[in-house]
Order: sequence, then C-alpha cells, then structure tokens
Amino acid sequence: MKEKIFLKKKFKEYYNTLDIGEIKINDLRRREFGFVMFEESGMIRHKAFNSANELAEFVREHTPAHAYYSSAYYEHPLAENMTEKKWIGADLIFDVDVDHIPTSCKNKHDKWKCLDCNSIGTGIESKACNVCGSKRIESKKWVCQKCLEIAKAEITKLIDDFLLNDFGFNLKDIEIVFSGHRGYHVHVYSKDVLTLDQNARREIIDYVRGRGIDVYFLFGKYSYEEIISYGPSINEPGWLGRWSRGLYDYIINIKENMKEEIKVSENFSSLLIKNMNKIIESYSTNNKPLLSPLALSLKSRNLKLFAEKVAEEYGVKIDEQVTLDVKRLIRIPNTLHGKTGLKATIVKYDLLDSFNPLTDAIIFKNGKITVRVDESPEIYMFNKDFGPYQNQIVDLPVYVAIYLIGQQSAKLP
Amino acid sequence: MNKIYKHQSNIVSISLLARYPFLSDARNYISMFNINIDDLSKPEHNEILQEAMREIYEIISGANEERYIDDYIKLMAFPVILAMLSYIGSKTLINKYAIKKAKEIEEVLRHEDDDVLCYVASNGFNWTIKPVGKSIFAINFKDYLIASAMFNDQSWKLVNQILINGLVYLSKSKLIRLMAAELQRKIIQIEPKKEEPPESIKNIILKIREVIKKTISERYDYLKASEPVNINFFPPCVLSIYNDLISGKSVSHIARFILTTFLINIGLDVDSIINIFQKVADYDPAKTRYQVEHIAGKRGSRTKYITPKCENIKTMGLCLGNCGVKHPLNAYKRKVRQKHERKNFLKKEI
Repeated sequence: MKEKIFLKKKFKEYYNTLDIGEIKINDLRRREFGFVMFEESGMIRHKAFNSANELAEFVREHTPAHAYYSSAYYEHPLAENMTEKKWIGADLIFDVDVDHIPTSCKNKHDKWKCLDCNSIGTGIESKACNVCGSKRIESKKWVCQKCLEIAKAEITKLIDDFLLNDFGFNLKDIEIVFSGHRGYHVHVYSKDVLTLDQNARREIIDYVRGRGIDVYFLFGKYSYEEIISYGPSINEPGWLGRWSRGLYDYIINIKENMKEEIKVSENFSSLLIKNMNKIIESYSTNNKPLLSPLALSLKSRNLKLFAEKVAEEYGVKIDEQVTLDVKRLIRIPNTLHGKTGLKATIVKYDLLDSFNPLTDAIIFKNGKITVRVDESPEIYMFNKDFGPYQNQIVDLPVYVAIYLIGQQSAKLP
Repeated sequence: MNKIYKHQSNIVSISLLARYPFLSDARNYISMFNINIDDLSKPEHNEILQEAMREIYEIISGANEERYIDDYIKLMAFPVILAMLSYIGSKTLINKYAIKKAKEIEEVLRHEDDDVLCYVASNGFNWTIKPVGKSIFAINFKDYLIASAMFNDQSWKLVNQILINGLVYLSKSKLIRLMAAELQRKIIQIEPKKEEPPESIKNIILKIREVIKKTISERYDYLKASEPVNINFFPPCVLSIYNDLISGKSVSHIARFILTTFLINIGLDVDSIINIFQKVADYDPAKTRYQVEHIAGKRGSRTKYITPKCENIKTMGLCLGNCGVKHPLNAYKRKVRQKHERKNFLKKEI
C-alpha cells in the first residue's frame, strides 16, 4: 500500500507541473475517457471533458495510475452504453507490443512457473507445463532494450512501407507514441479512415500483416497443371515486390544460417535447399525468383502455404485487436504508465531512429531511494545497467525504483 | 424526348442519366421538375407511376421482360420505385431489387468507355477515381474497402490488390463488378418506412403488400428442417448473422462459419442451408455446397464442425448479448427444452 501512495505522490508531482499544451487530443470533447486509479482495481469509464484544462484538472486531482481516451468520437461520450453514445468515427490505431513478438531475449528475462509441480523455465511460457502438463502457469515478463528496438523496427516498417508508401497517408496525420511500457502506438488521424467499420479495418490489418495473400495474385492466373515459372519482381509495387524481397531475404537466411523459419514440409525443405542457388541466381539476373523447380514437384497446397507464410513473416506484427476495436481506449500521450513510471512519449518521425525509450521517456531523473527488490533481471535505464537483484535492499535512482515498484518487483523497506 | 442536361463542361445526355439514375446529376435533373410524391396520382404523371409499378411487379415475379421505355420515364420512375419499396416495407423485396439493379448495371457498364465509368463512379458513388492507362483504374482505398466488403472471395481482399499511395489499381472488369456491388449495397440500405403511405400511392402499396404476402416466401420459409427449427430460439449472435445474410448484407467468413455450424448442429439439412446463402453478393452454388458439406462432415476430413463457443465468439467481436450460456448451441437447446417442459407442465395441470 505504501508503495502505491509513493507512486501516486510522484505521479502527482509530474501532473502538477505538466503544461496544458502537452495535452493534445484532437476533438477532445467527442472522446470518452477512462482511468485506472492507484487505490482500486477496475477502470472508471465513460468520462468526458470539455477542454484540456478540465482534463488536466481531473488528472491532478485524482492522479490516476493509467489514463486512457477513446480512439472513437461520440455524439455523447458521457453516455454509459454504446448505443446512446452514438459512435461518429474512430482514428486508426496500430499497436506494436513486444509481448506479441517472440524475441530471443525473452529467454534471458522472462520466467514461468508451474503452480502445480513447481517446475520453472525461461522464455515464453507455453500453454501447458512441459513437465506435468498443468495449465496453471504463472509468468513474469520483462522488457529490455532489445525488445524495444525490435518493436521500433516493426513500427518503422509499418510507417515507411505501409502507411506512407502503400496507403499514402500524410506524415502530418501520423502520430507515434511510445506506450510507456512494452511498445509503440501509431495513431492515424485521417478522414479516409474515420468512419471505416470493423470489416474494413480487418482488411487493413490483414494487409499490414500480409495475411490471406493469394497465389493467383502472386503468380498470376494459372491452372495447377501448368507450370509457374517466375515469382513477382522485387521492383513490383505493394505486396508483389514485398513478397519477392521477403522470399529473397528468406532464402539468403537459409543459405547463410542453414536455418528455416518457415516450416511447410520435409519434402519442401529439401527442395528449397537443393534449389536455393538457382533461385538466388535468378534474382541477380531477372530481379525475380525462379519458382519452376519448386512448383513442379510441389503439391499446390504446400506452395500456397509457403506463399502465405513468407507474406506473414514480412508483414508487421501488430496487435490486431487494438486496430480492429473501433471503441478502444488508448493511453493518453504525455501521461504516465502506472507499471513503469515512464511517460507515454510522442516521438517525432524524424527522431524515431535515435529515440531510446529507456532514457528519453524517463521523468523522475533526480534523487535516490532505498528499496527491497524481490527479483529483477538486469535492467538498462538512462545508459546504465542495474541488477540483476534477488531479495536485496538497494539504493537506486528514483526512476529505477519506480520502475521496479510498478512491476511489483520491489517494495519500500 | 431529347432533353440535354449540362454537367460542368461535359454534356451529359438524358439517356446516360436514365441508364444510371442513381447519379447525383440525375438527382439534380429530376429535382428540376419538382414533382412531389403527392402529385403522382395526377394524370400527367401516370406514365411514371405505371412504370414504377411495372418494375416492382417484375421484382416480385422475377420476370425480366425487355421493353422500350422512354428515357425520361425511366429516369423519373427511379426515385418513385425507391420510395414505393420503402413504403411497401419488405426487406426481401428491397434486396431483390438491389440484386436486379446490380446485375443490370454490370451489363450496361460493360459497354461504356473508360471516362464514362469514371464519371459514373465519381458522380454516382462519390469515389475518388482516375484512369491510369487503357482500361486500368485507380480508386481510393477507402472507397474500395467499403464496396468490396460485399464480396467474400479471397481475390477481393485488400492484400491481393495493387495498392500504391492510397490508390487501388483495378482492371475494367473488376471495377465494373465493384460498382455493381456498390449500387447493390446502396439500395440495400433503404429502410422500410413505418408511417402510412401518402394517399396518392396508398392503394397501390396496399395491393402490392397483399401480393407479396402470397408470392414471396419471407424469412421463415427458408427454414425447412428435418426437425422443426425455431428461429425464435436462436441466440442473438446467430440471429443477427442470419438476418444479415438473408437480407443480402455482407457477412464475414467467420460469421458464415458460425451460422452454418449452428444450423447443421440443430438439424437443418444441407440444401436448406445453401438456400440461405443465395442472397449473398458473391454467391457461388458449387462453392457454397462444397463448404456447407465440408462443415457438415460429408466431405474432406469427415469431421462435423461444431459452432465456436461463446468465449471465442466474444473475441471475434460477434457476441451480442449475455445469454448466460457458454455455447450458442446450449442457448438454443435450453429454449427448446423449456418449451417442452412448459408443454408437459401444462398437460399435467389439465
């Protein structure tokens, strides 16, 4: 409890000095707001404000652990049910969360424990305990510098390749926000997307993820008895070229590392390895892959499967629900994340490359404090490593202490 | 009658407007005559009213007679047909008209030049569109997404289109199919009016309603099961999918799967289920049969598929109510059971 009081006190310091100009919400009066408080679980929803000033006052007075607003615009944002709220439209939101991406560093910092047989392991927890088969598994996940770099790379791909190139959105309509914890949000404010329903947003998701790509689209209309000679050129626009470039990377990766990310069948693997030099050569002479050796000996189903998997491998790994849900609450930029004390930080597109969340989103830069850390992996913040710690009392900079308290891994002594 | 109507610098003929009476130029043209629905009973507008009625009886009977219609009459009858459909109040009839019109437009558009196609798409549907080569067009991705939702085939997915800088590139034939689907979608949106029809067309409307009752099999007729199937016992999620489907609305693949598995598991036969799918824009009898039979376990892996449980339907965003069950089939079975129990209870009482 005293930890929560401490966090709340620090958050209040921040909100008291927060400039109103930092609260930039398009059409604020049409939005629904939601808050999670330090004192109680559950979310307070269906709030609405007339101005940034009113919102700031509320936040200062109540100092929430988490503050959200709706991607949707409503006639009556205060109404308690969705029909009465009268949905007008919603921004298009993308969320890249490392929780959804299987990064290799998870073996280093994530742990799971079976609540039945007490087995423990590292990395991504499986659905059932690999010792006793129990599904009662508890896990502790962490985010590291590397995780966040991977999330950033996905966001860069999303914006450059998809949002700007293919969808043709204007950079001025795109806002990038570090979520304050495990990834990034991208808000698209464009009248072209405002009123799109879930079906249309599902199509955008599938496009960005590369899901549902059709062999007829990639290789042209052919009957299965005919031979596919070449795949699309790397210079083709949209998914045609992207798929082709993806296949190239994929085959080079097999050649260099002898490692296959995509498993279709044993037969397929040996075919691919046997023919990879021919395929690479066709890329250098024709800019497109020679596929006839594969297509000839493959069942059409396997080729289809392979084509789909290559596309999905080179799509962006977004959290689909966030984009799909037209009534979603999303963290308000420039508010603090209750689990980390980091600021949900707006990142300018030009500065994305050099942005380092574990430095640039730190608010509580001054002072030190003593805490008892139960368990924590090595943490890198503000250009310095801390830990790992196990059951020990340590003097830590306030921002590290808040981060660990927020993660429920440290207590005040 | 060779009235000429000017549109910006182009000259748009009345025959063009009559071919595409949904154009906003057509609407403007029609409004110049200032004919009110109450005026329709006047003798000078009798021809328009007669044409609208003929069209509606054609929709009901399914007949498609070729006959000469004056462009002016054809054009003026269009808004009258829409108003009458709305007063008649049958969703089924509106959908039938939408399908008929879509087919008609698809045929007519085939004979048009590229610039007319662009004109119809932009003036009629407010699409952002431009020709980008001979018989290749680029349309705004938003317009594409809204219209293509009428199709369920993988080849219409956005991921299978060329998308450059916000524009989807389409061949002439694909553009025409998309335009037909958009017209169908627009007509489907006509809502049945609750209020009484105006005096000028009241008797006509009442008579048509009578005819419909006799001829068009409304929704319950689709359910001819080996065991009696009671639509009133459907849980809200399934009912909504069912209603969408029979009214020709676009229904996602997963929603179709939910409905099909549900109907199979409550004992509806394959043919009746296929019947339900007839309304969808991309209906393909062979494909539908294949898929329904597959789900029914009569093909392929021979597994009879079961409806997803409520939890999963929730994640798909298709759950519409708190039925207090964990599985949509249970919601149905429970109601059937309750009905039996009530019957037995009443019997005992007597």
